[in-house]
Amino acid sequence: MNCQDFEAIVNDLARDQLVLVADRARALVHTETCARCAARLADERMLTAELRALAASSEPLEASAAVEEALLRAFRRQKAASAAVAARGRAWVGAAAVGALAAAMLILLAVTIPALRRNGPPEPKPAEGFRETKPPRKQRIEVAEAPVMDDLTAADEEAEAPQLLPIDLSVGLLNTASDVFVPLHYGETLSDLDGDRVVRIELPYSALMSLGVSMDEDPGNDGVEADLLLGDDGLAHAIRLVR
Amino acid sequence: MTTPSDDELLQLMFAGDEDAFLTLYRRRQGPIYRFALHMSGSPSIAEEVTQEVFLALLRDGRQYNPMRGSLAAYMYGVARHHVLRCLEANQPYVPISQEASPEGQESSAREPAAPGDILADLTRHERIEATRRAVLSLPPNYREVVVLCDLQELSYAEAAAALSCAIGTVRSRLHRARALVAERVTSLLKDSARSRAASPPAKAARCFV
Repeated sequence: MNCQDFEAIVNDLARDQLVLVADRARALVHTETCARCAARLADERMLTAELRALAASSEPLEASAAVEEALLRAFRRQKAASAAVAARGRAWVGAAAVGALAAAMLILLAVTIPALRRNGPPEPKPAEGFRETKPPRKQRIEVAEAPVMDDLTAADEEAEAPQLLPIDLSVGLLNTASDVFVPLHYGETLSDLDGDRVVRIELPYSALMSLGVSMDEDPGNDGVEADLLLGDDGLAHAIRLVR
Repeated sequence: MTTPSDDELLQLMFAGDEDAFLTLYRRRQGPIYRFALHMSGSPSIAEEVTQEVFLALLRDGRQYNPMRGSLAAYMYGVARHHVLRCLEANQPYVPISQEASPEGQESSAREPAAPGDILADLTRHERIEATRRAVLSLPPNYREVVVLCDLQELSYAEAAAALSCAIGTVRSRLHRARALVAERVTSLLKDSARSRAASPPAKAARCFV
């Protein structure tokens, strides 16, 4: 070991820090041959002793009791404040939950009420084994004029159930294979439904009644085949009965 | 029953455990106070810094990351920040010897020695005082490594964590700082010896009774 290497570890040697055993041994051997480095190590050890004496002299020194009391008061204040904040937080969460529930209900009502108004009564589900047919895109579907409320005749107004469209099975739609569709809703114009989907379904008699179609004769247990004209919204807008 | 670690006490303190806070305070306030005292030379600054460190622990203690160092190193880092701020605000600082010690905190270096050891005690006290003044005369970046590594006996790694610097920086600064302290102590002791030699001897008083 030379003097430069010794200088690099002299502080650690003097301060009793961890030094590799081999390095420590070489350093001590070096001090036996180099008086300058030996004096350097002695000076460093003296300085270490002086610093440790200074540390020992101040060992009993510590902050006064007033600091502890002040900090204890601060700790209790913070604890109380945290508890208050937590209580406020719990109250806020409760209020927020109630508010969120109310908002959700309002949104639900806002969404469902217009939909119910637009759709009217629920449509019957198509019977099993329904067949779907799609007319040619350009095919024009002839539709019957919708019985608009304003155009109702006095005779119509005298009808007990104006929502029901009387159909004479013997001469009516059921006997025809025509392309005439009957609108399902009063006041609805079907001209804009040109080229839309037509779905053939088999309906029980009760379902036909719920659609507002009355029949003069009981079809028995057999279902009634009908074509439904579906709009862009996927809802049935007109019906055509087929035998 | 094992003694709870600093980190465990800190978690209990966050949960509102007053005993944990007191235990942590009583364990750590002395070293923090002495660090601030050796850095500033002022007991009042040391008390203020100690209080600020624990207030910061109450307020921002959740920022402490055990992966970056021990809680002690974290607290020394906070103390160092406050000491440097106080030193900037209160320049020039008041050396310890010129400020009254807190009540009941007389240094052991000032305790009366046995009659036979008076001379040795005076010499020891003089060297300690010279060392204290030498440390206080260091630039802050050298002073803090001497205080942390030599007076507070932190490892290089702990000191590096407290000072937010590399271990190599701590080692090199300590090397330079110790050389400065040694020069300063030698100089102070020589000045003291010269002043004693220059002071006129006490005149013998004759009694004319």
